[in-house]
Parts: sequence; structure tokens; C-alpha cells
Amino acid sequence: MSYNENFLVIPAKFPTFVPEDPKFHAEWDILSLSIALVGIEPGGFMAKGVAGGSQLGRTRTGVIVSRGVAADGVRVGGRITLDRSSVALHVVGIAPTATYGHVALVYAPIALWRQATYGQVTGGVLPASAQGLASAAALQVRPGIDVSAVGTHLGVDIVTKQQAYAGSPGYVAETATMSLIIDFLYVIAALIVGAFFTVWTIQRKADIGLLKALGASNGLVIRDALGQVALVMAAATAAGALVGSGIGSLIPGGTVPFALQTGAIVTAAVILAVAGLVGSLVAVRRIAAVDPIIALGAAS
Amino acid sequence: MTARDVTADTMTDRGGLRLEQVCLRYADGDGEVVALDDVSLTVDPGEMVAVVGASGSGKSSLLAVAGAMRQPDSGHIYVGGTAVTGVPAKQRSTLRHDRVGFVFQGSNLLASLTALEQLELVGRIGRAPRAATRTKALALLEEVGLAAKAGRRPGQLSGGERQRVGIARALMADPAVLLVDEPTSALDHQRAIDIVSLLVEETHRHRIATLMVTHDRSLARLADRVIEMRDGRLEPAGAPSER
Ligand SMILES: Nc1ncnc2c1ncn2[C@@H]1O[C@H](COP(=O)(O)OP(=O)(O)OP(=O)(O)O)[C@@H](O)[C@H]1O
Ligand SMILES: [Mg+2]
Repeated sequence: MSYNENFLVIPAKFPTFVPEDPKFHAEWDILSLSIALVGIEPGGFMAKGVAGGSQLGRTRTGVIVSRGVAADGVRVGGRITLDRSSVALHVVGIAPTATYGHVALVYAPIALWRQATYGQVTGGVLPASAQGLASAAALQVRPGIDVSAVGTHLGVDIVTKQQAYAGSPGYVAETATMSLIIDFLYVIAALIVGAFFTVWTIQRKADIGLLKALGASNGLVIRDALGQVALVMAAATAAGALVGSGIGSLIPGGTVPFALQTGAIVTAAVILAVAGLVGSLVAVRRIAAVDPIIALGAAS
Repeated sequence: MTARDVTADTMTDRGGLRLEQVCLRYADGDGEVVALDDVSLTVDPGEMVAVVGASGSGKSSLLAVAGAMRQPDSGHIYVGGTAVTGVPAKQRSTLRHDRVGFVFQGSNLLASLTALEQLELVGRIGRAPRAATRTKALALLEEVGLAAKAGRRPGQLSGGERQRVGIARALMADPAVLLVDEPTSALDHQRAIDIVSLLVEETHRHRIATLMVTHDRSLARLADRVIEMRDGRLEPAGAPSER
């Protein structure tokens, strides 16, 4: 049996789901830090997705901190206190970087999360009304299941993992800005490549005139030029992708939210190559206009 | 060379170069400049004609129309027996490749190619078979005395040697007509004489109709016939107004 998609059930009219802000101010030793507390079912599939997740639930107050929290100096065996709750968290493991709205995650067993989130008013005692409450539920379904029908039946919204990301604070605004910057870079790249090949053509004007004087047709000269453009573009794009990945891999994932994905690199490379070819068409048009007569009386 | 071999009449009657009442005008601001004024000229196969004349007299214009680079405003031009006037540009470039050889001022070689590759390029433009092209290129380099330097690029050749490569390149497609523009402007006198003598020799050997522009009358004298251009008109050299 295979499950290949995660969905998030988020509260609509379902009484046991109450959206809660997961962000807490926390203290460790003399440090003050911001964390986002996430409760997961120990032994559940979400816990399996967390490095060291099997540690969760062994003790009532054991938590796993993501690398961002560890980078502030928090160590395994340490004890974190929260500002708006009397609950203490004991660090039992460190997981890779994970954030919610740029705040580093701390994974807790769901019972501990409830205690921290809903127990604050009553001084640590979880009110009966908070039993079974959650902000959202994660679903893992077999391919082919109509999740929206399930959602309608239950009276909840069911969204994909991607949509859930998009719903997190600042995500849409930030990614839209980044996409805009990236799109502009593609346009700029096309312009630069076009300008490069235009200069290249101007520099080789005498040679092109000579070829035409020797009897080369426009078609032949243009095909030759486009072939060279394609070759230069392919080599330059491949080199650029390599250098980009090389430099990108030096950027520590913990400090900058940055990920290099093969798909994105390939897409960018293809877009760049196509944009470059389009840009170079301007240059190629100049080739057609070169007059073979310049070969005469060219005192080189 | 491939296209010419199939036109049967070209080998027996290559036709040389013929210009009939050719006029060429350039727009010049509001008025116009008459670069060629009713020019008629025949250069026979195996004949070398030198054209002398002052700057601006129309020598380059004459080569441009003879080489099918410019269409004249009136008149007819025949290259190797074929009319080049009233022919679309694409056909003219084929014609240029098949029937016309150019030797340019300052040789005009491609900096990145070896002497051999300069010649092979002509074969590539004409889509001639590779092996035959190489054989022919090597034979021509031998003919101009550069067999030993086939692998050199223009930067590694002297001015005279570059011009020899230029001459061999012009002969690659078995032209009916050879058009030569100031071939010696970058050379000292002795080397200039060598180059023009080589052109005369090749003209005779390959039975080409050669038209050479030069400003040097002592070099022009090496040709079979000398004509003079004055304000776009042709006159036999030594005509009344010569100093
Ligand atoms: N593209 C052009 N546009 C306008 N006038 C031109 C053009 N080319 C040449 N001319 C004019 O036509 C006349 C003949 O020019 P051409 O270049 O044929 O002379 P030339 O004998 O080759 O001169 P030179 O010895 O200086 O090379 C000149 O008056 C020149 O100014
Ligand atoms: Mg001239």
C-alpha cells in the first residue's frame, strides 16, 4: 500500500479544530528565543518525517528542536520554558532546519502541545473542553481518492501540502516577490544575450561580408550563426548551471531560506537558453543586412 | 565548381566578362553621383586587363557590378556567358560562388583559419565533396608556392604570402572571371611585381578573364591590356589627356 500525498485538514466548521498561533517566546538558560511549537502524534507518520521523531513520546515533556533553535545554543538535555505557559520542554533531539513564518520549529507530542497551547489560562491544568482539540490534521491518502468529496462530507476544508504552505504567514507575498525578481532576471538575461550576440555580429561584420562576397547565401550565413549561437548558449547555460549549483551548495540552509532543486535549475536553464535564442534573433537579423560589397575596398 | 561542370558550354566557351553600356548612379544628398557612365568592356578568357584611374573615378564600382554585388541602373553584364543583371540576390550569390573569384585589397582572410581552411571554406560554401576540395586546395597552394605553409594562419604569414593565399582561394571554384581590387597596396615594389606576375600567370594558365584595379601604372603594364577610368568612363590608357 502506498501513500504518496499529504493533505492538511484545516478547520472550517469542525468543532474540534481551533486555529492557534503556534508562536511562543521561549527561554533557555539566559537565552530568549522565538519558536513555533508543533504538536504531532508520537509514532504517527508525521513523526516519522521528523529526524529523531521516534524519541517523541518517550517522556511526557520531551521535544525535538529544529536546527534553527539549536543554532541559538540550545543543546540536547536542555530545558526550554515558554512565556505564555508554565509547561517546560526538555530537548531530546535535533532535526534539520524547519520554520513556520521564519520562526524555527519545535516538535512536541500532541498532548504536550495541547498543554502548552490551551493550558495557559488555567495555570497548566488542561480544561476538559480542550481535550482532543487540534489546529489542523494531516492526512495521508492513497492516490485516486477524492479528498474534496471527503472534505465536503465532513464539513472541513482539505488542502494539499502546497496550499497549506501558501496559507502560512507571509508565504504568498514573499514568493510572489521572489518570482517577480526571477522573471525580471530572465528578461534581463534575454536582453544581455541579445546584446552580446549583436555586438558579436557587429564585430564579425567584415567576415560576414567576406563570406557573402565568396558566394555564401544569407541562409547559409544565418544557419551558421544560429548554430554557433546555440553552441555558445548550450555551453554557457551548462557552465552557469554548474557554477550556480556550486555556489548555491555553499549557502548554509540554516541562515538563508534557500534550496536548490534540480527541477528549478533545469527549468531556469531551459528558459535561459530559449530567452537567449530569442534575444539573438535580433542579432541574426543584422546578419541578413550585411552587404557583401564591404569586402571590396576593405583595407585590412 | 560542381554547378559549373554540368553547364556544358562553359568549358568550351567560358565567355569571359562582358559589360554592355553599364550605368551606375549613387544617390548623393539631393543629387546623384554617376559612378559608371555608359561603360562597355570585354575581357576575354585568358586575358588580364588592368584598370587605372584616380580616386573616385569608379574603379571599385566597376568591380562591384562585374562581381554581381551591385545591380547597375542600366546595361547588361555577362559573366562566363551568363547574364548577372536582372537576377535575384540569391541566384547572384550562387553565381558569384560558381563563376567569380575575388582577390581583395589586403587579402581579406579570416583570422582564425589556416591557409588550407581558407580555401576549403569555398568548397564548403559550394557544398563540394570534402576530399576533392582538400585535394584541390592543396594543389592550388602548391601552385602559388605555399604548399609548405598550408597549416599557417594569416597572422603567421607575410603580406605577400597572405595575398598568395587570397589568389589561391579565388581560384578554388574554377572561376570564369577573376576580379582583383588593389592587390598590392600593402606590399613593397618587388613583392607587388611578384604578386601581379602570379596573377598574370594564373590568368593564362586557367584561361580566366581577369580584371585588376590598381593605382600603380608600372604594375598595370604587366597586364595584357590597360584601360583608364576617368569620372566613370573608360578610356584606353595613354589616351590624349594622360600627362
Ligand atoms: N555607396 C556610395 N554612395 C554614394 N556614392 C558612392 C558610393 N560608393 C561610391 N560612391 C561614389 O562613386 C564614385 C566612384 O567611387 P568608387 O569607389 O568606384 O571609386 P574608386 O575609383 O574605386 O576610388 P578609389 O581609388 O578611391 O578606391 C565616387 O565619386 C564615390 O564618391
Ligand atoms: Mg576603390
